[in-house]
Amino acid sequence: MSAGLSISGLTLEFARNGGWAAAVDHCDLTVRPKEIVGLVGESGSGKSLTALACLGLIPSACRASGSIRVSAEQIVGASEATLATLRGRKVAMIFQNPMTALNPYFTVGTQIVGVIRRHFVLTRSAAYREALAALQRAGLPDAALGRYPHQLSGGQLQRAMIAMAIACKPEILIADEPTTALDVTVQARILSLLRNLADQGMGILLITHDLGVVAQVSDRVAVMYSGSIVESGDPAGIFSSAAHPYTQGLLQSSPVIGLGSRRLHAIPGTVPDFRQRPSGCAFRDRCTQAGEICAQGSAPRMAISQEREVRCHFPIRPGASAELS
Amino acid sequence: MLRYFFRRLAMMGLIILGVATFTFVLSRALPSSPVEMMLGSKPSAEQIERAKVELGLDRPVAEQLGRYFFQLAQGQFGTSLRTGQPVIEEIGRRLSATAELVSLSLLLAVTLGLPLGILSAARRNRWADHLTRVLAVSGVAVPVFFLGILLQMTFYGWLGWLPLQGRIDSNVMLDHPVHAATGLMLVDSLLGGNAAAFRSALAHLALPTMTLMLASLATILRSTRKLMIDVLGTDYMRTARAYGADRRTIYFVLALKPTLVPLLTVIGLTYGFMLGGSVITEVLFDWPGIGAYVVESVVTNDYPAVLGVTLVISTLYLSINLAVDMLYFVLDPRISA
Amino acid sequence: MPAQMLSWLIAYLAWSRRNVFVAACATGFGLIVLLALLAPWLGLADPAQIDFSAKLLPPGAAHWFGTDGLGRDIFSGVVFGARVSLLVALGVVAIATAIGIPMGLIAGYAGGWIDGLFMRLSDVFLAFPPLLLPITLSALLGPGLLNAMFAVAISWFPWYARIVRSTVLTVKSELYVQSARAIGTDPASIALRHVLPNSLSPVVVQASLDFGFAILTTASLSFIGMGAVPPTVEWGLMVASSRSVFLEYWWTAMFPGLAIFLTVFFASVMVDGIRDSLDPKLARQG
Repeated sequence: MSAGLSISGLTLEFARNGGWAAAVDHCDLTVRPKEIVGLVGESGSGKSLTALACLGLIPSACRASGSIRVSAEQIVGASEATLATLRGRKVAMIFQNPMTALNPYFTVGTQIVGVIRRHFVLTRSAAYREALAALQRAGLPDAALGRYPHQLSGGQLQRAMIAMAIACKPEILIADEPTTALDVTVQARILSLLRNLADQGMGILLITHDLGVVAQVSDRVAVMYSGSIVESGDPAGIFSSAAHPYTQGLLQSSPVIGLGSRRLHAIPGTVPDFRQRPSGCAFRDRCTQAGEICAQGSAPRMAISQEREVRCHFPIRPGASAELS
Repeated sequence: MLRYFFRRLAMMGLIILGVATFTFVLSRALPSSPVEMMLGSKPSAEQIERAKVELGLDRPVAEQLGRYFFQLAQGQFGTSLRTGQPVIEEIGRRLSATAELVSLSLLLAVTLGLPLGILSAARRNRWADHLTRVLAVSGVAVPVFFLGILLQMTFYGWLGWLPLQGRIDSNVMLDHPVHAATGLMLVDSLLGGNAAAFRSALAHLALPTMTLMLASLATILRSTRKLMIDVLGTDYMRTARAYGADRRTIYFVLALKPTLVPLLTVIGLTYGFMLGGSVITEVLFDWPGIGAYVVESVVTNDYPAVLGVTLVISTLYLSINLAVDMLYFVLDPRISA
Repeated sequence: MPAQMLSWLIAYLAWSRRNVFVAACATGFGLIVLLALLAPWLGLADPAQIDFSAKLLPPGAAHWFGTDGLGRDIFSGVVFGARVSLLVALGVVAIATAIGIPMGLIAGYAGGWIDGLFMRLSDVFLAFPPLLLPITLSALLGPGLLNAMFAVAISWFPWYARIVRSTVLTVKSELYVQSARAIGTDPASIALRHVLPNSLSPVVVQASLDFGFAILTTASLSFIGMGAVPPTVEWGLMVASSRSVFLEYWWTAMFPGLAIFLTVFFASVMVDGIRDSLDPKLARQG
């Protein structure tokens, strides 16, 4: 697949005690054009790091191996020069806190125009026209062009960020917790904007810890736990019958509107730090299904159905109810 | 913003009045009477009494203060006890000499300090950074007079490249006199097409400027480095990198503006410090500036001169501080827009 | 007791390994302080002893740093000068804080017109660029190093008062102080037990930085003739008296000048290093 985002065997490691500890461990993920893929996980799962890796922005202390392809170009190990041509142009990222993500000393317009002219040879006025078009697509009035970031609200700022992201019409948009810092009402509007952008051709990787957000707009979901993708597939299927014990636990501990009322059960234990992960499956210490084999290396990926995959030795069968502890 | 400005201006006026009162009271408390000094060799008691009445020193202090303010309001700073010249004229002449020295020093300090600070921030914790940081601490730790002496020893004593003291070669002044238009020797000699005077003035400026510049260079370097490091760590810088900004754009456009605005405050304050700090440099290099004037007046108990020069320097210092604050208003979009 | 000292020593050594440069400077400073303390018992020549037969001798076996225009031994002068400079700098900072802290406490805590009066008065003090006020005050008080010390301390105390005042204002509005007042604790004990300890740390930071500046300022005052006078042995004065001869006899200016520079340099690096170590946020930024 030449268009879209294709992550294969991505491993991101940090040095530890003479060896390496993997914060992200052999991750596989694809985002095709026109689809929204939700990457769900708690903090510490490695999802933000994965996002940064897609732009080649991992910290210098981190070692990357595997493959990330954006629009057929390889990101892992690419030179700064190559990456600079791709960032903002083929793949763009929007960040969690829009209030601090834009430079307070320059107007929104100046910043967007700056990005456009970095990737295209255009006159100032032509670039301004493009910026205006981007603002319109993001749902902002023309006047926003001349505004400074402190003059806009949180929701408007996130739209401004989105405008900057789509200004060069990238193939892939990575949204790292785009609605976490916003009001619930504003959230819905931003999410529908993202949906529109996807419908118009963009592939979006939507990173979040909020299952509700994922339920609203994603075409596919990937669940990440402590550096590995433990389950992926279509949202409806996963939400109705999760295959991985972690996903099951997650669903049962989060209130999700539309999935009926139920008692909330917290998953016992805490997410392990990636430097102190148990051997084998990272979830086994907290898992209700764990068996001896789980301590020996991670489980292979298994396809449950056409669209769904899970990485588990003891996936939960649909219809069977897992033991609640 | 205008309201803030006028409020600050009013406060400044009050403070200057306070300074005048403060210095006036101090001067009346100076140990040796200025009268004796003025009259030269052992004067008789009668002569002293007469001089005191003339100078108005026999009146109560409050009345003297009132008279002084009245005088000030008329733009009169009085006459120097030492030279007999109007204080205000002397201050004017000396001020331009200091202005030339300080402005050039500051210009050099910024021209060198800003790029070095950016380099230091960009190459954090590499050898270039450590070197500049040592330079920064040294610049502040070295006593100004010692630095001046070292420079004199090197460039005059050993190499013979530059003159020891003074503002211009006296022979040059005789043969190619400079018409004082602005009071700035460099400018005036250029305006008059006087090449010899220009060269001499430049040569004489070199050492004092280098001496005065070092401490400010150090401060500007440290401040630029710290400010730029802070800016480079912000979320919006991460955004810039995420959208393909190259190194040059980051350091010289996107991170520079957020660094420059607070830095301008530092630069302005340094200018103010230099005004006062030029005292040592001027004494060492026999530079006819206002710092040396302060020392001369104070040492000879020339109280009109002391009062006048203190007022002028404090007013300048406060004005610069106010100007710098107002500059912030203009430059920071978060306040002005 | 010895066990505790041993653990401190170990901690210091571990810290030194990570901050070699800072530790080296701290050691240098320590050596200077040690020399200064032990000066009278080191068997040195009298630094004020004039001997025209030995004037302007270059550094050698008899006189390690040479002699000055009056035949005085410069090495001895530098060592004894250390005593003087360090003591005077300490005095400046001590007096400035001794006056400034109570003043800031009162102004901040009392508020109202007392605070207003204090602010206007300190505005006047702070309207003078550095050195100008010490020079004027020095002239008022007369020559002598002690007077110079007072002059500088008086010029500086408003800074400390302001620092304390602003911390007091912040702490005053803190919840725990308000609760203390609500239950009727008397203001004096609130001031002493809650407000004072919290105001102290920025003062300590400023004071440690000012120590170096105090050395520089008093030396500068001595240089222009407004500080130490003979027969006091002081670094700035030594440089000043070398002015007529330093071009041919470099050692007369070099050694006292270097002494000032090194002392202030070591002290500054040491203070910066300690501050960076104590404040984790700053340390991470390197």
